[in-house]
Amino acid sequence: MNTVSHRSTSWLLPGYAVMVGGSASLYLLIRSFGERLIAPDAPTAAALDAVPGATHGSSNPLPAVLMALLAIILASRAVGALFGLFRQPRVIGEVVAGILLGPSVVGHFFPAVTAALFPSSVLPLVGIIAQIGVMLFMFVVGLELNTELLRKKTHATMAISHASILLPFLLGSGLALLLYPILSTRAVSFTAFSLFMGISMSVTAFPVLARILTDRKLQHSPLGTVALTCAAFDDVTAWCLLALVVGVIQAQIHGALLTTALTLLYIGAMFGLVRPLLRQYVERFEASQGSAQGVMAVMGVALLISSLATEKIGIHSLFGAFLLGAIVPHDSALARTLTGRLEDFVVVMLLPAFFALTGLRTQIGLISGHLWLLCGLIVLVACAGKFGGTALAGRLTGMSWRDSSALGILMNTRGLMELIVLNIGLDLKVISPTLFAMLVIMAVVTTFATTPILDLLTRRGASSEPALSQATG
Amino acid sequence: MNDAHQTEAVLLRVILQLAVIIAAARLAGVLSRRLGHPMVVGEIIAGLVLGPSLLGHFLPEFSCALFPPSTAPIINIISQLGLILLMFLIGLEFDFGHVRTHGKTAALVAVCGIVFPFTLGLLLGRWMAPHFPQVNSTAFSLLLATALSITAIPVLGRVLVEFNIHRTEIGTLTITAAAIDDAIGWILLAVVSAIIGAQFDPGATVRMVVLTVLFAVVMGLIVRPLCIYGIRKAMAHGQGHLTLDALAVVFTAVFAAAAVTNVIGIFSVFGAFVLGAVLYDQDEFREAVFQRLKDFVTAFFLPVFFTYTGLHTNIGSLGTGIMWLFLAAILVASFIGKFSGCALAARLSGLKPRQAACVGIMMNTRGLMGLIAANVGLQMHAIPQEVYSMLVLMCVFSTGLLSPVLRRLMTGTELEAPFRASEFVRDALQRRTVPAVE
Repeated sequence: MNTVSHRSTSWLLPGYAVMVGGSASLYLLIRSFGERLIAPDAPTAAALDAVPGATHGSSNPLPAVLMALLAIILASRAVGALFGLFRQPRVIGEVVAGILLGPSVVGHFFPAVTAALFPSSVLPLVGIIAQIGVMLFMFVVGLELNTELLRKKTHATMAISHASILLPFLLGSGLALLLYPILSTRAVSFTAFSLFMGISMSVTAFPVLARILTDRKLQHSPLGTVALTCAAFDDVTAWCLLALVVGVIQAQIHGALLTTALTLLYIGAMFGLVRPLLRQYVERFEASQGSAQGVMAVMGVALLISSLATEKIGIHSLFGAFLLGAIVPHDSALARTLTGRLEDFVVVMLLPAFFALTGLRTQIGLISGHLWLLCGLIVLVACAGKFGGTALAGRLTGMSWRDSSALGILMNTRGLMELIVLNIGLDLKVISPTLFAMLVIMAVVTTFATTPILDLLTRRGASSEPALSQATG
Repeated sequence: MNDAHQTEAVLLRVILQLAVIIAAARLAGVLSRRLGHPMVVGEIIAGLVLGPSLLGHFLPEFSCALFPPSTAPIINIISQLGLILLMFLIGLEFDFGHVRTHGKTAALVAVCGIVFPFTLGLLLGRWMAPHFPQVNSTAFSLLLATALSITAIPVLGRVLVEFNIHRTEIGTLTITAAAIDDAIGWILLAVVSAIIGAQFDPGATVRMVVLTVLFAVVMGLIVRPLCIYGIRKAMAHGQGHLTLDALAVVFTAVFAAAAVTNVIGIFSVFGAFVLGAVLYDQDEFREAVFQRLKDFVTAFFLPVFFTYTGLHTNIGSLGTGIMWLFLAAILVASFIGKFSGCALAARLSGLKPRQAACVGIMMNTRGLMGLIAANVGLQMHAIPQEVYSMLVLMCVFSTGLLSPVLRRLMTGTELEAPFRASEFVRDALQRRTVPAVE
């Protein structure tokens, strides 16, 4: 990665310390302002209910579930393919398909269709399928995360990845000062709200980013390696932050310490105890040519237990899934077997269910009048933080303007990781359905903007020549 | 608004259940393998253990905490989705090639293997039905008879491969006969479920049967060429692998086929099976699909189905003496009907007594097909809970019988030599710590 750090790196360490320290104090400053803000009272429960309550029909729900899954798979593939034609990552099309199926479009114009496809008796079942899908997906993301990349990082990439987290985080929590009195309720503390806003701005979708780079055959270019490393690092950081926030929100103040301690203990145990065990298991698996089914069963149980443990600790179950995936030795036969067996099934059948569910919870109709201005502002701040932060840090560490902008726009991809984070926020009631809808729009727009701008930057640029031609989503 | 939290709580419970289910199934499967049985026997038993028969009986609070009624629909739906996918895979594996190469002997064995147990089942049904006034006696007898006449080719085939005897003459003969019985069994089950679904209204029954036949014909004549065309293109495009789009189409087709049979009124897994069966000769496609789905379905979905079955089976409900008598009768009738029917037919076709007995015991394997038939019966309210439990036990019994009895019977036949060389024997001899594998 010498290409990146042309300049002297001697100023990096103190600069880095100033950056982190400054950010922390800035956040505390924002928080001290925000604590004085007053949010409106909680609206009536009816307005919050995007999804009608479960009714338990005694009849066999199988036909209805089959129909719902059929609609979901078809819609996500169709819209995904459409987006693929425009060189967009398909996943963004799948997300849009989910929004289309929800109350924003189909439900708005043909309420009968949505009601018929997703009756209230089916929703909990599809919901569970979607949740299991996201869990498996986070596991696969963890599997594909190359921890070697993190270890080999240079000062420069480290600075870039920190900047690409800190700036959007600060801007997001700063934005919370404005949003809290308008869009939040008294039930949510400003700390939780601002932390969550900060995180939702600093998420990068590692899987989508990796797909975009692979599609353009850029993954081995200097730009690609830096982007992948930064994204991996951002992912890990964002998830740790999120775990912290969830802990803070659920445990309130006195429990937060315990949660943090338990989380650290858990991470330590996973790396210290489970990882060596896994290494042994991998060696045995590779030596004995063991069956894929045995591995699936063993790792499946491990995954479920890890998720349960993190949920019990008070951070989200997805964190456990991700962590287990991350400690499986990358690129081992075990990881390849698991990815090969799980990924397609999850991507084709289970994740679309998650997108559809997200879409069903997204009510764009809630955004009206001046709220659209706020929505635009959120998009702007999100881009300014992530794109600006990354590009600036890239430039400061010696990349060309073109390369650092390309890196910035890549890191601005939020994709479905953002959706996962947002759903957690909505579940925890940190954000209201209105803000949820705005942030979903932000996620879609930032992901959507990535490929055209990237193409613009790399087409004329000389830095990343290899094969820009073919490749569809 | 507590919806989200409710979902979250349910999700946690489901995660816990899945962890227990998968672990239990795997453990029991490996254990059963160590004891010289096919893994599926252990997996079915694991389901029974988790249900009210054992866990629920001895640790009722624990069982209730682990499997609260609120999560029952979720386990149900996961197991049914898994079953649909599994039936598609089983259909794909269906080999009509055997049926062509093996002639009259196999046909005779197959037909006797259906007629004998079916008759016995009908007689048994007439005797038992008065004790279960809550179900229709004709529906009851028909379903019982069908459940007794089923042979499970997936389990049988796997055991034959495990024992390394699938290439012997007796082996191929049995597989052929089992394949015919399998097909007949499914058609029987479809017809019976159509009759029951139409509530014995002749007009409705005819309509359902006609629709089912029409469905099968459409699948064979219209869907098959379309699929083959699509498969050609997809395989060429993906270089022998399924692209994600192709996989999405596969899912869509399987679920659509299942939904159609559900609308017709017969059980939904039939549609998935037929879709697989009409594509039986697409070897490359089968390989690609198996590579994608098989391990996931077997390791994840199948144990859930077994647990679902186990949760509905309550051996304790067979409280009274007469119930145990019924159970014994079912076990005996299932064995006598299938074993003697097949063995007799094999003997008449010129096999030696010992060889004929081997054929008979192999054909007696019900495996999970018997479970599926029992589940269809339960869902259609054609059989009461107690008889459902009996049928589940019958499946375990008949499948568990296979390995020990076959190993005794095969001495002196041509099966012995290949068996000695099989991985199964090597595994059993070495019995190392390496987990036994399928």
